[in-house]
Amino acid sequence: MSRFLLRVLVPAKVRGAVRAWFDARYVALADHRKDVRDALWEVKSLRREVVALRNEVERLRKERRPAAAPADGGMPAKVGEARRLAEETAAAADRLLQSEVLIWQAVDRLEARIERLERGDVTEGQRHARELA
Amino acid sequence: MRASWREADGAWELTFRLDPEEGLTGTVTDGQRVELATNSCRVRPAVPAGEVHPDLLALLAWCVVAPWTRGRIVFDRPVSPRFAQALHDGWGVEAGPVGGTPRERGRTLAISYSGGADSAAVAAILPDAPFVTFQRVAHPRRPNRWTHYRSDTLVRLAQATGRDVTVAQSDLEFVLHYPRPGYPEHHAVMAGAILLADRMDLGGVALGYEIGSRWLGGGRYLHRYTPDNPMWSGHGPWGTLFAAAGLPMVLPVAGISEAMTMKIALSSKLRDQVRWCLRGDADSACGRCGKCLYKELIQAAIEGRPLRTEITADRPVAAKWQRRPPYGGQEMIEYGCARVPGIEDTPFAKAAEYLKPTIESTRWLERVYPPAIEEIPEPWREPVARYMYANFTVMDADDRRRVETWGMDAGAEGADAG
Repeated sequence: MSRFLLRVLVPAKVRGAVRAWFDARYVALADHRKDVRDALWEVKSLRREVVALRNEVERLRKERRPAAAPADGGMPAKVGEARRLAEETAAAADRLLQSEVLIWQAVDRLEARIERLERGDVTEGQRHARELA
Repeated sequence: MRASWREADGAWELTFRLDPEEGLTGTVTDGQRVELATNSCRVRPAVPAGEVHPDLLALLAWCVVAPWTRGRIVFDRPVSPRFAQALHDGWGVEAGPVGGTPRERGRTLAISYSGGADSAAVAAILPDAPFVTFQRVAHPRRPNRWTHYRSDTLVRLAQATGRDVTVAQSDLEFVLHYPRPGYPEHHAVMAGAILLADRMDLGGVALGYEIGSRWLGGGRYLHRYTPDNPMWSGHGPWGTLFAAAGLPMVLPVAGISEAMTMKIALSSKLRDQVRWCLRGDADSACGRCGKCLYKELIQAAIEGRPLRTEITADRPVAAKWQRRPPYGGQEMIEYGCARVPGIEDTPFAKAAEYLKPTIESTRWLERVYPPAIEEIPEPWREPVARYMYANFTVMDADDRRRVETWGMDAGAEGADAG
């Protein structure tokens, strides 16, 4: 009913103008088709890229070990060596500190002995002086 | 042994020398063999100690050098006859020079605060007592190879409690070469309190040792009833020595188990600052060490929930609980295994199988052992007793028998295990 009324009441000219006005605002069917084709092409090329990237990841993953070794060269060995050195140095420093404790103990023992000897010497000396007098 | 102190800029440096008959190897009161690394260490309290009674300096020195001392010790200033007598009676050691008067007990009780559940429980029971806390710092002569130990975190947590906290920094743990840096004697943890006893007017130091450590021979000191515990009993050599220096040790939670101290701590205001792990960061415990696993068992037991841990039975930290008992802190393993739902799917499954504990057989661990209260020196016995008897059931004759026969069948079990 409303369509009929519209057809009757609105002159063809005006209708045509309005339709043209609307059509200008929308993409034409041919353009749509083209856009869809482009989008499809885009998706296909992306899919190819993803496949290529996946293969690349797979290849890199497989190659990781052999590839890392030449790149890092002697690093693991150097780290190991540094660790060994650090540990041995620490152990050596510990032994030095312990030796120092023992050296002080020996110094104290010697000091005590010297003191005793000196006391002994004094008595010796005094007796000698007395004998001379 | 000769021990001398030097004070410079608030730091107290102890230097000691071995007598001819002494060596690098010594024995701690708990029987652990130790080896000396170096012969000096420092203690730096956050506030200047001022004048310190010679008996206190001698006491602190003794906490460091006791394992290596044989026969006699010469201090750089005279100790009181009472202190010398205590050293003689406790260890058969002649101490000198002797002179001066003993130290008078002060009026304040300080808490030797570690941040763990046990000392947090002590703090909850004694809400006005100031904290003195020990902070490990590097030793100038030994590179620190033990940086996983987060002493800074523990201090920050202690300060976050809002209580009166005095930190004492020290490198004294580094005088130990073997087994690893640590307190030469357990009592060295009180270094700050000993040094500041005069300044803080201390008449006692409260520690978080619970029934396992005090009465059941817990920790590396194995698994038997120890009324005469040489480290922590009031009448033992250490108890007598601390009392002789006017600074008796006070063990407010020695009558209850670790599960109960944890319960007190986790329902106290200090809950958010409680931390028993020495490895975690500022936000949380590490959750990966043996101690975290052990404490998680206790916490799960008191909260009546399954164990929350990622540690599996095949991890090295869980290895000791795959073997047959006895275990250190076995009473708590029994308590946990009896209460944690789904224990058979945890690293404690084997232990549960060996021990076969039940809620009934471990109920004594929720009650208080009265001799521990009687051991607390006045004037602090009364308030602690009031707290304990208000919050816990007293052990009956059967419970007490469990305490007093603890570890008696260990020999038989050991023989059985071959």
